[in-house]
Amino acid sequence: MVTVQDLSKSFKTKKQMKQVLDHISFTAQPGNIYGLLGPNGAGKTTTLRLIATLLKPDSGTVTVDGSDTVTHSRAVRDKIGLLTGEMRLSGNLSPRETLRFFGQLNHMDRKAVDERIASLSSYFGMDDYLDRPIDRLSSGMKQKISLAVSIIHDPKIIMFDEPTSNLDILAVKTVIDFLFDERRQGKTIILSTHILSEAEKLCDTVGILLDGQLVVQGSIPSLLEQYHTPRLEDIFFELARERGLTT
Amino acid sequence: MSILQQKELLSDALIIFTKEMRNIFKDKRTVFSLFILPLFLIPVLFIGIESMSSLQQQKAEQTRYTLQILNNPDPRFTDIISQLLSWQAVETPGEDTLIIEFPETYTPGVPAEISIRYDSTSSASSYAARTITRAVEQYDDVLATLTLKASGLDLEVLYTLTPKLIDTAPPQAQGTQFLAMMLPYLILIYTFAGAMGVGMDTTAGEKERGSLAILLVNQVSRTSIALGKVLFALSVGIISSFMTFAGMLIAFSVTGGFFSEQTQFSGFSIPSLLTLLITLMCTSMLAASLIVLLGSLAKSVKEAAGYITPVYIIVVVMGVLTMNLDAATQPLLFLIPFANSVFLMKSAIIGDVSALPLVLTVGSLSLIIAVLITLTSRLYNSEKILEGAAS
Repeated sequence: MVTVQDLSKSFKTKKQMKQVLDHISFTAQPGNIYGLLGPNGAGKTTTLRLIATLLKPDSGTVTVDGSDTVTHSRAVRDKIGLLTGEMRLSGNLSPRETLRFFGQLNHMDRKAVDERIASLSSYFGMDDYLDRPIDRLSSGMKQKISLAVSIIHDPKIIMFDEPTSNLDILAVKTVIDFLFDERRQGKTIILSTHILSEAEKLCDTVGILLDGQLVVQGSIPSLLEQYHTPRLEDIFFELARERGLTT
Repeated sequence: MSILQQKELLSDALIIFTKEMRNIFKDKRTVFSLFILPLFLIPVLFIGIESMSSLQQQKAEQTRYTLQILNNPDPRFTDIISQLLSWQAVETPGEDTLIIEFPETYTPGVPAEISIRYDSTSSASSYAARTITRAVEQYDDVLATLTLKASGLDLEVLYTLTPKLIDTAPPQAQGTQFLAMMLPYLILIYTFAGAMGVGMDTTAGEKERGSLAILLVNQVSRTSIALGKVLFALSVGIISSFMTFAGMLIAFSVTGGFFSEQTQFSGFSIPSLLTLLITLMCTSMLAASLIVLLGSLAKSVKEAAGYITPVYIIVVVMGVLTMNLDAATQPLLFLIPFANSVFLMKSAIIGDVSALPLVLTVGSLSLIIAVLITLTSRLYNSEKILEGAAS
């Protein structure tokens, strides 16, 4: 479970301090997919980076399965797997070597890593190209390897930042199928996306971030009922209009 | 930090290092251009220069020149030219004609100025001008002999002294002038160039590929990641400069140190080799730690190149400035980064190894390297490292 409480974060720009997150709170439950929705620059990536211990909050707390991200960052990193849509694997190493490398970074022993690679390779259908240089693989194959890299240590919490951006339709299906499978296994999943139709299909609970504020959150059926609309998109645009972000 | 933590820090850094090295050694083109090419390129370059130089000399010697000799009343002068140069006289000078002009009222034996018009941009014309100058000197000797004979004297009485050069340099240092001039410069360039590409790729490139964030979310400390990257860049720099060193030695033995007056190079003594080795390692470490720090500050490879290129140019300029200088004797010069490496390498090559320059160079470079690595480690431990990183 991930608990975000009263979280704020600002960054220093050339001229001033810019508040990127403004006292946001939410909880992502095991066996659920929590969707962080919002336009570019709303604070989604910053939120995920704060949970992943890459950034430290100005105020507020984040706990991952009871471990605080500031005081127990190493324990938190052991529990989370992070994947970003911008990640472009490249190089001359094979998927097996790359996965072994990330396994080593997570202090897994060789036997455990190799067993995990075999299991992930079988799940993602990577057996045919497991020993080919990554540079010679297609983007879809690379995306499967990226997914495998992010969960090599079998984390309890999975965080995906815009995982389907820049992907073709087949690769998107791989991501979606994977997320559903992980949810079935009781993993806590946090998904950041600006594709509302995708969120509607994937997420159990969503939070809409606008200008660093979590303006609304809840289960998708309850939100649709509350706003008397069949589409999440309508809620998003109504909230954006209220804040003067769109006409 | 406990010994256990230090061990973990190093072993984690080795994970990063091993992965990067494995990645680079799997790329045949990179391995060839960084590690194999200097072994061939430098000897080929030297052989090429030597061949071109002797070919040009041969061509200049075999060329039939057109000369216009004005106001020369003495056929002995043209005889001397004929002994030294293949030529033919022309009435109307062409573009490549050399003109030798005596004063209109010239009388042999009377002091006069002889002008030789030639084209300095043509190597053949320059060669002919030098030969004609020699012919003028020989002709002058002929005239002087005649004048002295008239007084019952011999020309030889004017030449009482014969200079004889005796090289006082230690035997192992003889024939090392060219090596001492070129080797430090080439090593400096190759060390920096070798570490530059990989250093930028492993830092700014990682940000561009969006893999930095993933790399930071695991059980390895950020200091280990920074250390692993420095270790990787410096290893590539060291291997690259070693290959340059080897290439230079091959070139030197193949061409016989053709730029040097002495051609007998007897090899390096063990203290010289050790000094070269230590200097090479320190220089590589300095270049690598500097490149990794600047690369880590950049948001993209392009930006990193913008930061590193000016430093590279400074290093190249420093190499050029120190190329023709003798090994330094002032201790303060051994405190200037990169310049101290050049001076120390020069000392080692000519076999003049002493403790103080070595201590000053290693000490000052180690201090700078420690500061650079600390700054890189701090950068990796701060949020700034993610600035500009994709996602």
